[in-house]
Amino acid sequence: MNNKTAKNKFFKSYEFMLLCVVIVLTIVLAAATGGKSIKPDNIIDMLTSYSAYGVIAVGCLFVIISGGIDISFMAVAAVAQYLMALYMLNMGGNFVVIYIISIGAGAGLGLINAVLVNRLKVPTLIITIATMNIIYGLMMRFTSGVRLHGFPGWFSQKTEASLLFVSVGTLAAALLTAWFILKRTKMGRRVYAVGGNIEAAKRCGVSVLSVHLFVYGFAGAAAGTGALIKCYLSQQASIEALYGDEMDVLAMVVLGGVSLSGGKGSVFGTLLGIVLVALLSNGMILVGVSSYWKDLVIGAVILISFCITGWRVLAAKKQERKEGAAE
Amino acid sequence: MEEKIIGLKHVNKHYGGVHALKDVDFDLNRGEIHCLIGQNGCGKSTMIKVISGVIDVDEGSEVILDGKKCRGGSARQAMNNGVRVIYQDLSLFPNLTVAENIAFDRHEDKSIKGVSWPQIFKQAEEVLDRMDIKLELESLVEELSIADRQLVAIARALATNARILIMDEPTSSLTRKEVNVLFSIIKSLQEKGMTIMFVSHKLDEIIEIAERITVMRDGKIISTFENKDVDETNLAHMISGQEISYQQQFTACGDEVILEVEGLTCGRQYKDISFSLKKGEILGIIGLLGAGRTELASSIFGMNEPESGRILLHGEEVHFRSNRDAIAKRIAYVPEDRLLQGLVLNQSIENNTIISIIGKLKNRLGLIDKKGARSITRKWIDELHIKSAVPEINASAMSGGNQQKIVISKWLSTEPEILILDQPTNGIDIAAKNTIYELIRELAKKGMSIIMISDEAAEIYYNCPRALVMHKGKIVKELNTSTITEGEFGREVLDE
Repeated sequence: MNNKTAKNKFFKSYEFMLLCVVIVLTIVLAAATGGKSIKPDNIIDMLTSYSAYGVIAVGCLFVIISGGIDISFMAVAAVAQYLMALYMLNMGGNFVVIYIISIGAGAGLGLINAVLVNRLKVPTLIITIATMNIIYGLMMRFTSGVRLHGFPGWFSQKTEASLLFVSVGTLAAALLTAWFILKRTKMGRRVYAVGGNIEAAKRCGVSVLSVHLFVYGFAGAAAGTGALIKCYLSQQASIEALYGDEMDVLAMVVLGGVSLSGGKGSVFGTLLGIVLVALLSNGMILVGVSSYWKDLVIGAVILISFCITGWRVLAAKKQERKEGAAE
Repeated sequence: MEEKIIGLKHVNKHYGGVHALKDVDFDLNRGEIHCLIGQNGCGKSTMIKVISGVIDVDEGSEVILDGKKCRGGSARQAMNNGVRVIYQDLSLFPNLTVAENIAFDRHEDKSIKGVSWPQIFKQAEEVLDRMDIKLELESLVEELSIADRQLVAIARALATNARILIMDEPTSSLTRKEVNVLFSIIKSLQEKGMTIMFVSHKLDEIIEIAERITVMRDGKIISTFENKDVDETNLAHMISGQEISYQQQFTACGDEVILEVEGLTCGRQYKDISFSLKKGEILGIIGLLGAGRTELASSIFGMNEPESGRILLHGEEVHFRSNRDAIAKRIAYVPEDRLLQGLVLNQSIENNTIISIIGKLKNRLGLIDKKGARSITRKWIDELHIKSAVPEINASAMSGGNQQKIVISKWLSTEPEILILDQPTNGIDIAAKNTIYELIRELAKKGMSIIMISDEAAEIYYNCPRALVMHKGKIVKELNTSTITEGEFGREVLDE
């Protein structure tokens, strides 16, 4: 392996560009807020409040790398959150149990997505929009939109350490797990293979069904975990707590440099995407910009980042064509 | 050791009602290079699938591998038997590195646990060493040229300890130079004991590389020959079942000059290009891939703005800002890659035909005139003899030759004065090629001026009275093909 080319590649990569943007943005925000934004309190606050969506974004990353897209994750998260909350209210339980419940419920619903995606051969966007609506519809029918709160003491009495552990700790664990799976396991490499060229993957003997089950199951599990974090932070379970924030999560993944046609994306990129969205939202609050502007700014950033990537690809192609013709 | 490595005896294969293989007997000998040729749809792909064990054959058929009867059914099993197929699309992962593509089978090998990157790189390097070639292991496959991707596909097959390598149309998008590299690699693999089956329809290449040649037609094997017993002419005859002998059939063109190009230059793509085109003339432009011919053509078609020089139509200088301007001036361009640039595959023949004139096909309400569209499509289907074509069926269901005709008809419906054809017979079998040539000649007779771009010397020699040779972005010579023999023409082209 040539170390020098690997280094060069990194400096040319999208991730490097993103890292620069994050650093510059941090400095600008620090200057604009008189250092308020880089105070440890604020950083911890920011990380805590964005870790739920961060975890969900990591799950989404898997689906997008495999060449699909999942819109239903917030609905899945809502189900997981409700089940977990109901369990706590009725049976008590402890952290281990509710982690298992929320992860299990999420993964179970994810597996349903996977089977539909694998069998129906319909664009995944359409399938997951359908499952999202079905899940929300059923949830409204069975819960009547009631909020659940008043959880047992072990869950409702938060300390600074437990808060950090449940939010940032879980996010870190999710990121590490995702990194390990994608880089170091056969299944991770199969996810990239299916996203890159599904026909070729089949010809190499990859079981596409198992890859689908894995990625949608993982995305569901991540959504369930995110729901748990959200519930811990807000101390309530409700449908609308998560409803409508799908695009925030997708923005994190997209800004993290995935290719929506599949096959590309990294955990590091997604981490930077999460940080970028968190910085932007948090920064705007600190600077005193109305939160209504947040969506506009995130939209603009996505557009700009896509323009830059697209422009770079075009420039590279033009260069290649000129060089090719001269040969 | 037995000489035969694979034998097929009385093999039949039905797909629904289609009898794809009819009582086929076929032997593949250990360590030989064996070519399989035939027209599109003659059963070549089915043969590949049977030999590689991907599909099962009908009752009563026998497939013998290493002297043992075997049943097909799974690609995985074939791989374990050492049979590897390199499909035309190469089946690589564009988003993964060269190293991982080569060593990908490790991910599916149950005896290897986990993913070890050093091992992946080591294995890839070993295989490339065995092939005696150098590739950047860290590069993504999508960054490689087609020729290099081809090498990666071969390397991947070697990494799985393939004994029998089946290559489906491996040269269809390679330049001559790259074909030479590929052939030398194939020969060296053979020396190391590999058995190679090579499927192609480029006769000159087959004669160059194959030891034995099997000709297929209509699901049957016509015969198997030793290389020394055949030449291009009789192979062509056997493939199509009809005598095809090319003759130069030139019709005189008018004197009126339609198009003039003066000192056209575009960066490093092409330099100082000047030529003229007369009414009803078929002008050939021959040059290797990368000689700048496609770039030149797209400049004339308004898609690639030249830096300097002039383009004159009927003596008047024109500046095209886009190809819409060029189409308005009645220029049409049939691109090199019909699948990528010429056709919308999942749309009907009708929609493909009328797309270029959709703005004009309006009824009184300003909507698309369905009847008009249908009649125009019917007219071209009749006129170009597009076999078994119905306007409603998808372009993807047609054979290569017929697809090319659909692309041409799309442009003909704009009623062009100048038709630029870029590699018009790329990937088309011999019989279909001939019908395309006839069509081109007919159009020229009717007064259309045609520029035909190709890298096949024979194609230019037999169709174009006048040919320009392009090399490294320049026109290096102009040849009058009627005064020289095909051999002389070929030498003139090669000897820049």
